[in-house]
Formats: sequence, C-alpha cells, structure tokens
Amino acid sequence: MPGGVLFDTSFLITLADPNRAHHETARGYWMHFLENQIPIYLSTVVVSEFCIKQEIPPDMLRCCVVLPFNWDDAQLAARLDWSATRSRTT
Amino acid sequence: MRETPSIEFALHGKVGGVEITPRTIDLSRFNEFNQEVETFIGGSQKLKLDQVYVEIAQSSYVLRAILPVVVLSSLVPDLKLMARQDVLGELDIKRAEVVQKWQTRTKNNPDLIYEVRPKVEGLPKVRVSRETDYRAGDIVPWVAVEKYLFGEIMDMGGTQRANVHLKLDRGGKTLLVGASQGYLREQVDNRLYHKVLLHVRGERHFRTGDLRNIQLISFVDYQPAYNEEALDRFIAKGAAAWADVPDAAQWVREVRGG
Repeated sequence: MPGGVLFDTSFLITLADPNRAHHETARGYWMHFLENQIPIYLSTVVVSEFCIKQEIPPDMLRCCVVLPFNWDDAQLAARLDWSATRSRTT
Repeated sequence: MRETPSIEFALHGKVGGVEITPRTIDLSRFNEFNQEVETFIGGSQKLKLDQVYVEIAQSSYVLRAILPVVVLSSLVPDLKLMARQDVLGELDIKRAEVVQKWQTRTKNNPDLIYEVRPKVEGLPKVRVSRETDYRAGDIVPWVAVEKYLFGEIMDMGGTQRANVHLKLDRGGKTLLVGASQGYLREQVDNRLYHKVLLHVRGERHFRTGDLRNIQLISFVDYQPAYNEEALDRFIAKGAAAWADVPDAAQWVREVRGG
C-alpha cells in the first residue's frame, strides 16, 4: 500500500469545482484513495489557501490527515531552491 | 605512517573505598560505562561501530577506542564544543544525555571523575567531575510543535499519570503520549487496539527531530471512507465558490505573491 498522497491547492479546487476540465478525474482519485485505504494528507498551508474561497467541511476533513507547518518543516522549506520556482512562474 | 585516531574514555574514582580499575570494577558499572561510551561515540546518528576497536588500559578503568575517520569526524564538533560547560543544549542529544548522567553521578559520588581524552591534535581533553558544571545553558534545542500521529492504541490510562501508548503506523515505534484522566474518561468509543489519529503537542529536537513531552490535545475524528453525499455537498458549494477563478494554478500563484 502506498504511504499516502499529499493534495495541493489546485487539486482541491479541481475536486471542488465541477466546471474544471479535470474535475471527474479528481473525483475519481478521491474515491480511489479512500476506497483503497491510501492516506490523504492535507497541509495547513494548502488549507490556508483553499479556505480563502471555500471552507472544508468536517465530513470531508475527517477523511484527511492534517499536516501542520512546524519548525522542522520551516527549516526544510528554507533549504528549497526557490529560484527554480520563480523562473518557472515569471 | 599516521597513527589511527583514538579517544580514551576514563573512569576514575573509588566505590566502597576501592579504587576503580579493570580488576575491581563491578559488573553493573562496567556495563553502564561501556554502554555510555558506545552511546557517546555513536551519537544520535547511531553510527556503525563495528570498525571501532577497544582496548582496556591499566590504572583507572580506561577504554581506548580506535576510531575510523568517519566516526571521529562526527565527534569532533561536539568535543570542541565541550571546552565550554554550558553546552549540553548544543551537543548531539545522545552525547548530551551521557554527559548529563556523568555530571549527576559525580555530584552524588564526589570520588568519581569521567574523562574523554582524544589522542588527536587540536582536540581538548574533557573532564567531568564534582568541580565541573556541564549544563544546558541558554540554548534550548527543543522547539514546541503540534503534530498529528496515526497508529494503534496499545494501552491507555494510568493511576497516577495517565497516558496513551501509541504504536505508530509508520516505523512501528511506540510513543508514550500524556493525557488527562478526565479526557480519557469522557471517551465514549472504545479506542483500545483501534487505529486512531491523535492531535498532540510536544517538543521536537531542532537537530535530531526527536519528540519529547508529548501531550494529547484530542482524538481526531478521522474516518477515511468514501461518502458520495458529502462529496456532492462539497462540490455544490465549490461551484459557486470558485466561479470567478478561471485558472486555478494562476490564482494560487497570485495568492503566493506572484
């Protein structure tokens, strides 16, 4: 069994909005992970972005393991190569 | 030819009026000291020590550990730091624990002296005795964190101090999580031998990632099962919520500051 999946904000938006091109695919993934006992991890950073527009209700949240952003996560994040991200987005 | 680096670990003192030597050291102290030397050398990285060779020298009880370069290089920064005594917060956690034990014992038995004597140029000799005061100092290497831990409850409760024994799903290690008796009493569901998700707070070592002082905040309502109706309700609200966001990836980039 896989160790789990970590959703990003774009995936959650695609799952939430039926008008997205890949909504049905996202829905299929959601069902697949839950029916195959593959843990779904949800980072608090993703929650902070998604909840700008939509709340995550308890009956969806109970399917996820929340990942808080702690000291060690902050240290790891600081070591990432952010310049690569900037060059891709500009 | 260069000499292989070595470090001598010496235990001086008297127990019951008898000088500690290789001939007089009792079995429990022998095992205790050897174990502590092994922990000190291996540190929290648990370095492989099968290439470390040991000799027992005469006089006090002295272990001479002959060290491969890779093992020595992991020890050097800590040995240099130990020139100061307010340093335990900065040392490798396992080494700091050993030094803390030595310091405590020398306070209880003033005849005891522990020495770490590197036979390597530039490294200071370390002495722990009743005259020294190895301590954590101002630098506290533990930071407060909150975490979610997933595993199976193997035991729960306690007469004096209640706790939960959680066998982690990943790695199989069992953690002791402190809890209030009142909170455990309130639990309606039988959670013993069930998989649970715990929301906890604790302290994480900034270098090793070790957790300590873990306290239960709550059992999380974690029931990962596909629920079509819940998903449809979520989607019904999502259609309106995201209607003015044509490009999700672009929107996320803008939220993150462009």
